Amino acid sequence: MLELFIFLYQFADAFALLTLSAAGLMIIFGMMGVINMAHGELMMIGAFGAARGFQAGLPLPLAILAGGLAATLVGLILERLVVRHFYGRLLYSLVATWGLSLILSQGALIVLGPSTQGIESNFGNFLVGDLSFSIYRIVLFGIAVGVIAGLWALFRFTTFGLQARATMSNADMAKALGIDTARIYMLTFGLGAFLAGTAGALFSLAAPVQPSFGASYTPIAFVVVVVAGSRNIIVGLTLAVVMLALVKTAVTINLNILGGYVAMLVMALLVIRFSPNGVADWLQKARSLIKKPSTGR
Amino acid sequence: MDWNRRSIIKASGALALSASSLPLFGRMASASENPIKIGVIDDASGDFAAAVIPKTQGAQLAVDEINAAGGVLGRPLQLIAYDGQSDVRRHQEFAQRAILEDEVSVLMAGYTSSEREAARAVAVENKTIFWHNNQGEGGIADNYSFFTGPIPEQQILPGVEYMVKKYGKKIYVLAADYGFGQVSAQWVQASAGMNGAEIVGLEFIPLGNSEFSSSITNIQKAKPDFLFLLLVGSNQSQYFPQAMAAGLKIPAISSVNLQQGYEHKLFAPPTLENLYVPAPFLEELSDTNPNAKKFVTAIRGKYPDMPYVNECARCAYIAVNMMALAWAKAGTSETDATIAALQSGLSFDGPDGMVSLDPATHHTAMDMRMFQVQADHSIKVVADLGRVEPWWLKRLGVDLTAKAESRQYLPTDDPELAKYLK
Repeated sequence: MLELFIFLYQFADAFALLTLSAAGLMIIFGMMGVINMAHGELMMIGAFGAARGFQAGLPLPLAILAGGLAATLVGLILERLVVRHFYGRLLYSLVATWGLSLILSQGALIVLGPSTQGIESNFGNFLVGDLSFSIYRIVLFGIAVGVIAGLWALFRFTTFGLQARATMSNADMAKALGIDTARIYMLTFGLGAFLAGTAGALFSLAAPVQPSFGASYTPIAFVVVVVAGSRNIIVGLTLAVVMLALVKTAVTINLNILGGYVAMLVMALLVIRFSPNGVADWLQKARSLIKKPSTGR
Repeated sequence: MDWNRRSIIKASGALALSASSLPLFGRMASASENPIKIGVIDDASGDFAAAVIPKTQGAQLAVDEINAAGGVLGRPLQLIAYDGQSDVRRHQEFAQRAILEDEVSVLMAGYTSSEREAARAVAVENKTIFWHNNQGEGGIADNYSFFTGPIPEQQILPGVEYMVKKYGKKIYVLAADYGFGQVSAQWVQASAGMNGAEIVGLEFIPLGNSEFSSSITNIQKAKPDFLFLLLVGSNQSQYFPQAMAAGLKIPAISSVNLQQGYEHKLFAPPTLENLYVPAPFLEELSDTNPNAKKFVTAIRGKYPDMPYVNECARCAYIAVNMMALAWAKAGTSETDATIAALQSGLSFDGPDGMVSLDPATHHTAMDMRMFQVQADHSIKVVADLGRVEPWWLKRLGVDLTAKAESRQYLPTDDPELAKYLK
């Protein structure tokens, strides 16, 4: 029973980590076909924003929001100045945003200094048997589920969501129908930056806030996006995160931390081998295979 | 608009120039006053930057003080700093550049053991004096290599002995998964054996890992009396807030954390409460120790924004001063004569008292203290571990004054230690 709880707790922990790290990257990649290499640095800006906001006396939720907004602001500026010139050009965007990431992290080292004090996490802990667990990790899991649900609702029910989905499936046609696709792209990039910044702010409660902050999260965010693919943002993200978190948790508990990472990478490798466009693409194909006989009749 | 663009081009040109200007100015200066050049490769960016930036500052302070007092042999000292970028390859490249192009008289490089070995290999190959300036896993016997940081027989052995007496015999070890962490973990195992203690858990953590919830659960299941932490880099230091959030309240000791990464300044109290640190120096020593007070005042006067005066600053400061003493004694900056001077029994009254360079092993004897982190993250000296010599290599028969060597000894090379290793 205790073992089952440990598994669920660590699965929830991995689920939150993967979802929050990857959501911003996923949105931008899924919508615009741009791999945002500066994703980790946007997280870092969110973390610094939250820590500095908290030090200045903001209550915790507002400090986290401040971090998210700081990253959004920086993200929008980057989008207008640089990124918008590279939409749909994967390799160009890769190099351009990588350059931005170097400038941002080194700029942060010069402007913000090598480190700042993080935020005190006073959420407390709870006991199961004689083992104690962190409440904040459960809170993070709740927020991660909320992010996925919120994104789904945003794309499903709002005008922005409708226009965004139209732009994603056929940008030229959407433009011809009068949708301001440049604006949609800008807003989507801003949303991605906001998610990255908020994730950074949330993680800053348990991490040293430093210019290299994002480097801890970028690799796993990339693995999630590779596994998810760009076919369907919400389904892809959820499926990829659940699969990776399951594998990581199972192997970490039974072997060790390194094994957990290796298992995630092996998983990503298998997905790329058998479904190069990600799990969402595979799911869609599988569904159409199942549907075909019924439509045939 | 045109003016703007031109000024941007100018600014970027200036930036490019400043990036490469240090060695450039080095050559210009050498023509006029022939300085003695000290090359330092420290991580000014990347995962280790927060801990390593003070190292360059400690070296610079020593250079400035020596130059203000007239230099050495009538020549000024010149510090040439390269950013190692927390990257092993950069350390190798810059070591070559420092020695072959910039012709430094001494190279001080490497934070992690892997960075150190990358740079040290280049120095040894080119017969250049090399210093490593933070604590390490020890065991290196090499004619060209010198060490200011404490080593296992000065930290881990007395540390484990102290903790076993105070808390009990069950130890859980979390160690960074690379050279330093693995060798240090062997030392912890051997020290446990020598003190009749037992290792109830040993986990190696990949460098760059920042997720510890599985380790925290494992620790709670194993119920150790205390933890031995060998966590490296800012990612791994995320262990502390995560353990705190999970309510893990087991006393811990670390031979590397806090004294380098000042985690007690990065995390809100009481995250590090009850962490023990066996070390010669922490900034807080300046509250009670006049030497430390003098050093901290001087370096903070020069760098008011320093987040913490850590072990790296202390070690680099001592290394530059030792070199100055050696050059003065040798009467030249020529390598062989300088090594002979370094092997003549030099001592320097440094930030934590007298530090003596052992001629036989090229490591230093120093005054060791046991520091304890309080609930408000203030630091208390809870035990005086006394003056500890670097004795282990000598027990293995190393004497660099008599016999040239270039190798690293491991705990498995010593039967007295190996018998405790599985």
